[in-house]
Amino acid sequence: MDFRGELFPQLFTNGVINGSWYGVLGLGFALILTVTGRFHLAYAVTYTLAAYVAIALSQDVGIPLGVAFFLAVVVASLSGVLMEGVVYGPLAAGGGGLLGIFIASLGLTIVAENLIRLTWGAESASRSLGGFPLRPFTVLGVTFTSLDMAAVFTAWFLVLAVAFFLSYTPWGRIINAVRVNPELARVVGINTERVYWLVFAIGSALAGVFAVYAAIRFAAVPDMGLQQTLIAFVVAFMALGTRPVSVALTGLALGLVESLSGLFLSAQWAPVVVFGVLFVYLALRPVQLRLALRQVQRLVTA
Amino acid sequence: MEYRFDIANQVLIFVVLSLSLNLLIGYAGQVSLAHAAIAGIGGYTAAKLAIANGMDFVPSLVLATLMAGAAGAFLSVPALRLTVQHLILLTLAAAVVLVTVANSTRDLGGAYGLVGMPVPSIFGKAMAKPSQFFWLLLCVAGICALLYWRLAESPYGRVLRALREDELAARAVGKNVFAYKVQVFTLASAMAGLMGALWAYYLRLASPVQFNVTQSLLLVTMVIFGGMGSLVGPAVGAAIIVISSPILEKNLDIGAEKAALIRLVIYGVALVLLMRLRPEGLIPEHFSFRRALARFGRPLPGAAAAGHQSPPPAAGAAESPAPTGPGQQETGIDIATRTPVVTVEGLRKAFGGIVAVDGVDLVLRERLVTGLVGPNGAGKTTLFNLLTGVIPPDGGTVRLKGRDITGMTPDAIARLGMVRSFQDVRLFLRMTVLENVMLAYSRHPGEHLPLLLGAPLATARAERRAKDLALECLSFVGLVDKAGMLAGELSFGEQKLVAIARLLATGADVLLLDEPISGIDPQWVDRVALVIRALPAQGKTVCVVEHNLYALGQLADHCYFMESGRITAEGSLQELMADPRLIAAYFGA
Amino acid sequence: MAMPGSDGIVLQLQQVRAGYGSRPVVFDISLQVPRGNVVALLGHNGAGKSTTLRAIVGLARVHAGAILLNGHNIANRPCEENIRDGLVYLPQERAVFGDLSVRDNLLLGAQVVKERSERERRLERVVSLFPILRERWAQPARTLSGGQQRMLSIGIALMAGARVLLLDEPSLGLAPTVAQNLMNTIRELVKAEGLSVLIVEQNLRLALDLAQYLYILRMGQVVLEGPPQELEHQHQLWQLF
Repeated sequence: MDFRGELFPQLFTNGVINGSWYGVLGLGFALILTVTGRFHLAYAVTYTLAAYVAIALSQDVGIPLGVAFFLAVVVASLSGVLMEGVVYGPLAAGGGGLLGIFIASLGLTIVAENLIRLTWGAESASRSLGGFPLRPFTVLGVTFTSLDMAAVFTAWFLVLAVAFFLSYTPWGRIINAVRVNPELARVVGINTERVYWLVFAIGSALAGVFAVYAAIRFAAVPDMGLQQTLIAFVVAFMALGTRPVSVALTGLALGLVESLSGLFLSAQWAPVVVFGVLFVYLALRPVQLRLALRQVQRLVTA
Repeated sequence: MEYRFDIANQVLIFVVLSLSLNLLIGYAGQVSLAHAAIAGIGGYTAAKLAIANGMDFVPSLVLATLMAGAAGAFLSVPALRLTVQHLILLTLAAAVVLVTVANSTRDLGGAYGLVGMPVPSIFGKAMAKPSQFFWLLLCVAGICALLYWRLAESPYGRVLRALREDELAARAVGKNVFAYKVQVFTLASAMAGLMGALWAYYLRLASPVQFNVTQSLLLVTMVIFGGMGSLVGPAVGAAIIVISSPILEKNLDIGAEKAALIRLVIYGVALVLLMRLRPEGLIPEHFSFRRALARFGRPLPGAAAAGHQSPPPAAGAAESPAPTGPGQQETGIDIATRTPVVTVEGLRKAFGGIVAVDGVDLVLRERLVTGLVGPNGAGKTTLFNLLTGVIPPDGGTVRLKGRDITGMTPDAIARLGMVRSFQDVRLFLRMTVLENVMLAYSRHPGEHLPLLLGAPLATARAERRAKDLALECLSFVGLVDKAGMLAGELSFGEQKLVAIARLLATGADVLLLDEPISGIDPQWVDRVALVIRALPAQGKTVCVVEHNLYALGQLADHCYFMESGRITAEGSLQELMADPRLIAAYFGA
Repeated sequence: MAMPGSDGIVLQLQQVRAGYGSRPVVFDISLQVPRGNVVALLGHNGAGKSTTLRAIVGLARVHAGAILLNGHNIANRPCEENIRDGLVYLPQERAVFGDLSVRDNLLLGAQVVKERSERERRLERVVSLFPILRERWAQPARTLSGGQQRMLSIGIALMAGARVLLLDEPSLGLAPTVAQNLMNTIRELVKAEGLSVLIVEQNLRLALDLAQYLYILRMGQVVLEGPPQELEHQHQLWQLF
């Protein structure tokens, strides 16, 4: 029991760190999903692309890390807009339904993953992004790095920034309008396609930020995007409501569950926990579970 | 030479994998991204049993197949009530869990997998070389393909396709949709497990990479690229995709690994383009060699006339006299002498705080057309949904021929003899008109797995009977000449008539029609009304919800007026509309 | 903004055939709305009343015929462009942005308006017309009562600078007094602002009170038309439904 007692704070901290950026990924995905309705599996493409672009710019071209980071996020953002503009939009206009868009998304994912393997896979299986001043800290027996701190602050800053943007600015209002009542939005003159582009830009940028973080902290592998997209989907799906803070908190909860499972299981089993949670959630009657969770939420927030 | 056999073996394995996935995606409409992982269950089971327990080849194959089948059955249970997106998510999650478990478990070999499988041998002959493996694989693949063909091109396959098109409509004609879903998952998974096991034996190892999410995506690509829902499309897709890798290798003079990646890029691009330009894939669903050949001979009825919207034919309904004015074929029917067939007492339903149906009593009497009218929001559609089991009531009873059917499922009620049509028709649009009506034939042995496989003669006989019945029902509504057309090609009015024919084919005595006249081209209205008027003469009891009072006046013998969830008046439509209070209520005073 | 046609007809449909995808729901609709008038469309459910309105504003497909707004054919024009000519459609059930605050709802109505002063002016006007909206300023629109939501939706239309208003069953689900109130408000607005209104209604009495001219649709076609005085005396009016 002592062993677990020591372990708990560390695992909790890890959970907070991971959960913070799961929340951001979930937010990006949720934004795209709730406003445009696209089942955007190719969110994985944006994620992986950003990581590899950052590495290539920083290590192959020699650009300073900060600039490489910025450019990678821009590339990520653009990639999302392009996918909507060139693939999803025309498909939807031509009558492609939900499944058609998903399959196109699937195609994009396959193309990107394997192009990346072709371009960068030959040299080494994974590449890491260096250049960040990594300093370890130990506080009350818990260890974390300067990178982790930066990640957590960035994550919550972004969440609050997006929340502010959506609630208090004209463009945020327009995005909400399209999400809530797309027909009425068109009637008052809103060009929904342009709004879709904006939403893809923001959501993809969010993914890009943490793709670079992952490249620094772990490494970049060609299929890194897929697993993270699943996590993003779990967060977006299980979040109650669409408010950015709600989504972020769901991500945090997921991160904590995943991390604290380390009290009982070894670390490799973490993904099983995450998807096990999802599996159970989907398997039990989702409607009733949602209602139950909503009751709990009402009790807590009343 | 061995090289060619190796390619052939890979083609065979992937062909069966994609055909089995096609049963799920193309036929039953269940998009699964876990198919490779399930094949992996088969592969790992065989490998573990062979390596750790020294089990022989054939028994290990059998167990592998059973394990995978069980996994499929397990996966199908949560899948029963999920939408397409959620099913994709669920299967993706399952795949990730399975791969992670394989990767992380030492007993399963971790990231390297289970290596060192013994050389399989059958009838004493060892199969170490591709050429030796080929013949066994060919046999097994052949058997699987035959089974697949038997399932797909059969009444059973027809039900699967209906399931894919419109689950609710399939239940409305009496199909137990849940049972079919579980069966399809189990069968497809068992087949995948068998191929996974054979593949493990072929490579003499079972590793996570073989059965990971990327492989599942590859399988989905094969199915969609080849043409999901078509019989041979996915096999063609699989063959092309597998063969293209060595072709690329040879022609571009690159390594095998690079070739495999390039082909994936090509097919990814192809998928995107395909969705844009040709969503049905290489081979469309309704292409069959039989039909193509038949065009040189006698075409199927209506196939040549596809797309031509003919005006409604002259009255062709079997023994129906022309409508004789306000709703009554014989003047002076005494309603009360007709036996009640459906009795509703005290039916109640509330949604949150809103009471939609508030203690409704009504009676549907045999061989009468009963109308249900009322203002918007009166609760008529909710009442229909309660009667047919689409939603469960909060209180009250519904009796069909004396039997309490309150709270039964829609398909059970349909099988007991009460069926309903939908306001938005809900035909199976990508199936032919004939197939749509044939589906309604009840108790078809060919729709049940054991009988389909075990009693082919009985199935064939039943199929002939179903076809005859369907043609009869179609001629009653005057659409026999459209039997070979796809239901989606008909005009809305024609579709409504086919829907009625479909109801007739169920053999049910009680038909509930939800706005049969609404939304159709005016020139078809009289035709539909004629058909409905002729139903009582066929022994049917009919209830019609209609907003079109003009049409209802010609149809109904007896009407109920419903407002705010209650029945407040009954009588002929003329009587009801002579009451100023009801008129005011109807027009919303 | 273009002037109405020389004969004072601000909106005209000529033999319009329209529906969703390739399936027509209305088969031959001809009607006209004179400037400053209220014209009503009546008929049973499924007769094609909503579809007609949606076809005018570009939310349903026009297969044949012409839709003339101030003399210009706007058939199949993208929906977003209509607001520039003052054409606003308020849908049947979801005519507000439910999750958003009353304030956001109104501001969204005016988001095509560039000048801030103009927006403020319109906001003042709307709030003075419907004081209840000021009380509920920050609340989500879906927490308003049915009648208040309809007021809000009309407020949105006014913020958008509507000249021609297409109302889809505004009285649906409202208590009789609230519905009557709403109709009175519409009548006054028409007089005060010079609006032209095409209204779909199930409630015959309200429609007869409000409109200067009525069209009755059945099975996608016009079966009767006329001023309320003529139609009121048709005892067998229900036979047309």
